Amino acid sequence: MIVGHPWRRRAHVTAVIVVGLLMAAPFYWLIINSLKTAQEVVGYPPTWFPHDIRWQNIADALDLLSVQSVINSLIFTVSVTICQLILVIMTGFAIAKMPFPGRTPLLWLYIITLFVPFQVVLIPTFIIVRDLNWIDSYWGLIVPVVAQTSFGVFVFRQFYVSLPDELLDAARLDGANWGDMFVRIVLPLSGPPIAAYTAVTVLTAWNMYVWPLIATTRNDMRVLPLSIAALATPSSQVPGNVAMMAVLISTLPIIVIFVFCQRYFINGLGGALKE
Amino acid sequence: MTENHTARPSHAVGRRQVLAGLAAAPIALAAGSRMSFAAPTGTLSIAVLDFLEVSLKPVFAAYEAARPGVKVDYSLLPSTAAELRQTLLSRRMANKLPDITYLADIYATQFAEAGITADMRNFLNSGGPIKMDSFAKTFLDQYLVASGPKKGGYYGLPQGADTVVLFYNKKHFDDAKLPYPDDSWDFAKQVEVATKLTQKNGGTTTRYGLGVSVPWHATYVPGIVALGDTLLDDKGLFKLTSDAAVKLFTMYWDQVKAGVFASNTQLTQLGQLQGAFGSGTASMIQSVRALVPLIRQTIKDDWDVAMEPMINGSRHTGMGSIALATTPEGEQNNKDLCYDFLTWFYAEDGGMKVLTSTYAVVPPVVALYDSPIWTKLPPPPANVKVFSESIQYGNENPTTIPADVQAVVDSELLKAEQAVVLNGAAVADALNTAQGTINDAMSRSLANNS
Amino acid sequence: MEVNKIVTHVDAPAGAGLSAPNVNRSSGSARPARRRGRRWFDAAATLWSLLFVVPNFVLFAIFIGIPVIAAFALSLFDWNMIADPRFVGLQNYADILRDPRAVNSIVKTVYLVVLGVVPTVLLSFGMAVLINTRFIGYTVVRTLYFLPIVISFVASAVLWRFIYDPRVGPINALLGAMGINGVNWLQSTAWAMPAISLVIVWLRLPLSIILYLAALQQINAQLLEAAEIDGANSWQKLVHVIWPNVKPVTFLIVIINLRGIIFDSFDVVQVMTGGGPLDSTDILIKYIYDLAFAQLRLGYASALSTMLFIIVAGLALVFTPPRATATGGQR
Repeated sequence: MIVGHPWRRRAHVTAVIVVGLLMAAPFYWLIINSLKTAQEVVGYPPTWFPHDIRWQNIADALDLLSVQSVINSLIFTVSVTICQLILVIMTGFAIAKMPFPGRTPLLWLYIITLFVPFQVVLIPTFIIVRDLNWIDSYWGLIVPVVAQTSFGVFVFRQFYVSLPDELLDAARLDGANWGDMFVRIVLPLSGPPIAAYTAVTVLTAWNMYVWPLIATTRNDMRVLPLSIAALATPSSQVPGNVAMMAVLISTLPIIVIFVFCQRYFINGLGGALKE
Repeated sequence: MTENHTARPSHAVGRRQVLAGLAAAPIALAAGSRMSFAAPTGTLSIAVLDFLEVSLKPVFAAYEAARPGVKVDYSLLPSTAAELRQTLLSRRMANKLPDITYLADIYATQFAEAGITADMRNFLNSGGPIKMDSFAKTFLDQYLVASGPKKGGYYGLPQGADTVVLFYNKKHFDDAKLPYPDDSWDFAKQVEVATKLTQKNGGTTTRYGLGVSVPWHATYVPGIVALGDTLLDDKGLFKLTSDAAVKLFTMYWDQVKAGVFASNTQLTQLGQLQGAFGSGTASMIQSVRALVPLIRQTIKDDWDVAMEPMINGSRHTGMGSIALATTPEGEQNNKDLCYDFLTWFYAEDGGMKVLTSTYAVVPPVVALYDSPIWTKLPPPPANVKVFSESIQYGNENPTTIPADVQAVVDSELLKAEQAVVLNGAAVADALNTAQGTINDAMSRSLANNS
Repeated sequence: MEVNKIVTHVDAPAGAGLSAPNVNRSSGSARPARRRGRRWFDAAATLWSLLFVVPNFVLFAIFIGIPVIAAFALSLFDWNMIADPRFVGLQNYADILRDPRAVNSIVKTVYLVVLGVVPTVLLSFGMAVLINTRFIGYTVVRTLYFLPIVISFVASAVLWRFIYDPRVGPINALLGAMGINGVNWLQSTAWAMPAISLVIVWLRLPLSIILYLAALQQINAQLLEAAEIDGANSWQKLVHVIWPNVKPVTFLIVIINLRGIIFDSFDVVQVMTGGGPLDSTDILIKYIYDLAFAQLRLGYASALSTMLFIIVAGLALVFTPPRATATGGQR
């Protein structure tokens, strides 16, 4: 995409790398400190590279994160992401492109509910889930989070608004109904927003703390952030190096998903527009 | 509800309840005696404060090993005040309370009134080896509800007996050729030594003589008592503008301003008291046994503990505890197992042995003050008797302060400290401002309860 | 002008089935084509829209709608989750006006929004344009830009508290090496909020970069090539081709960052400063949380949130009044 003189290209690539390293700099601090000893991590002056690398931190950190909580986090994250994605793509598309009465108020309903602090709806939501007898079940853990579709509807509506109408008009003239158009034309063009939205939703769900905290009471329903939160309290009995290693390990699955999603940011744009 | 059947029968108790109480009493006795013969079975659910998970996991494993038919299912409670209450209050609303829950002293009354905890007199009077007088009285009294509908009940059993003591870095003292702290120390001596131990680079302190959380009740409550006054007036309102209170806060904050003491304003950055001491940024700290495990892991130098210095010629020290309590649901559904666990937990060869081996706990059971299970652990700290001897000097935060008001107190006193230390406000003015907000909250709370 | 011509020219193949080069979506030339089947399509569209909208809407109504209404109702009560709720009418709203901490927290929230939203939007657009290129190893380098959202807010706040540490933190160590005396960032009434906003911008950049990148990827490459052939320089391409195409997503990014900074900054503030020093970072959401769960004044907390909601929704309506973006024939 970049054309021009070779030196301009080199300058561009250099800028990309330098800014990227700046963005990632705090992670360097996380990584080196997660490998230090408990003494070195609090030592003065700070060291820029660990003197003695303590690999035992990995085992200590894994000890703090149970296998069951990793499995629960995976179930929770995958269910929330898939269910929410289906709901918001369809609604976002309908609001952007389907002429039906009341779609503008509907859009604004979704936008303004973005501005309701969750702290305040937490207890009413909890009471609804309790009355459904869903406490300590995957239903209770997942469904109320799936229902938080405001953000997603808004995202997809904004993306579909810039989709050229002519694409749909053409299909319509060929006799396609809305379902056909959605599946055959819209979905194949939705790679980038789906990849972006998936990445964001996976992260949000993976790091969600307060809802799993009150929606579940049993240890075998515990998710990862509940284990991590204990490390951040002032009274934590876990030294900083092990705490940072635990944070690092708990984010690894997400980094893997991210690198995987990368391909779709680039290639998701299907062939249709270019043909 | 059999909550009161062991206490004096109240006049308000209906006929049915008396009958229920009478019927329950022999069953409770029978259960108590059966416990020692037949091992109980089933699942015991316990909610633990999240930062305790590390030290309690082996305790639960040991209990499961001792009772092959039992499984302990524990869940985590957040340890910040707001989240803790949010979690337990919502579990109560959903009828999903565990059999046993952890709590901290300041929540005793509120959790009792919210129906989260049950009156522990039921257990203490159930005929087992753990009785009312088994515990350090000052610590058990933290869970005695002083007013309101649950008055007279004990809504928690302390997990440990933690008083504030003086931790000191021996190497810093040796380097400065100073004698170690001893029982004769008073506040002035502490300031003098702390000033000598303080190191500065330009205007910035690089090593503090003492780390002490001034806006913490375990610091100011005993100090005000030592100066001959009390924290609350007759009506239960705060009197932070009393001569004693102003004098006490001034004593500490003068040293904070001088860069000799590190208080919350500095400590939040230094990883709290334990972080400052562990990294050698504070030569001494006023802290508690619960932080010993972390300090042992982080500190390089040798260190020990001493009694808190005297103020105004008398010795008073702060105290606080974390507790266990059965819940009304646990009491109702799983009573035998709950009582068996608690009995085992406080036994010298049971839970106490496992728990104290982490260095985090001083046994709250009087009979174990000299027990080798915790006094014979390899040092540091070597002078462990300090922990049990200072219990007698403990002054508790008044239990009449509701937990929601305590939240206001903590944040207002921190603000007062910042106003004084960062902005140079007068101590009396800062305390007066804090007092206004605190007493508003207190009055609102008193009005709500009446 | 030139660019407009390019757009027309390039877009025509995309609407290949239509005879008219109807690129400007609201232009009259598109209308006749749509009008022909309009009545039939409206009915069908409405039926289809039910299928597309209703499942979402039902869940939304139960788990968002009802709680929102309940939270509003709660603002008329005094409730501490323990005793029974007591009806107090509009008393909670009257109390807000007399509450200096509430007023202060609104001011601090506005301050944080200014320090947060503007840099996030500008920087994320710049970075997205910057990294929208390919070279050897570009996926790895791009991942560097996305790293900040990988980590939870709580964990990153803990990390940054460490980074800002005046003694063992790297910032002051670096400044010291340059001969500058660093300040105690999080314990300074002047610096605490800028320090927090830096963390928040850092945390929020990746999401905005991803959204911008997704929008940039959707711009037809031929448009840019055609612009280049017509001699447009980088700046002209940015203004005439790229910017019009990322406008909808910019609106989206502004709104979600506004929302995110007002509400999701809670964790960062809670862990890094707890609202201090001296309430200098005591933003509204932190105060609402304190009221609800530390002081157990759920009714008053609800009243404050309702007021916040009305202000923000009102501002949104004033600045971007609801209008159908002219697509699909609806006005």
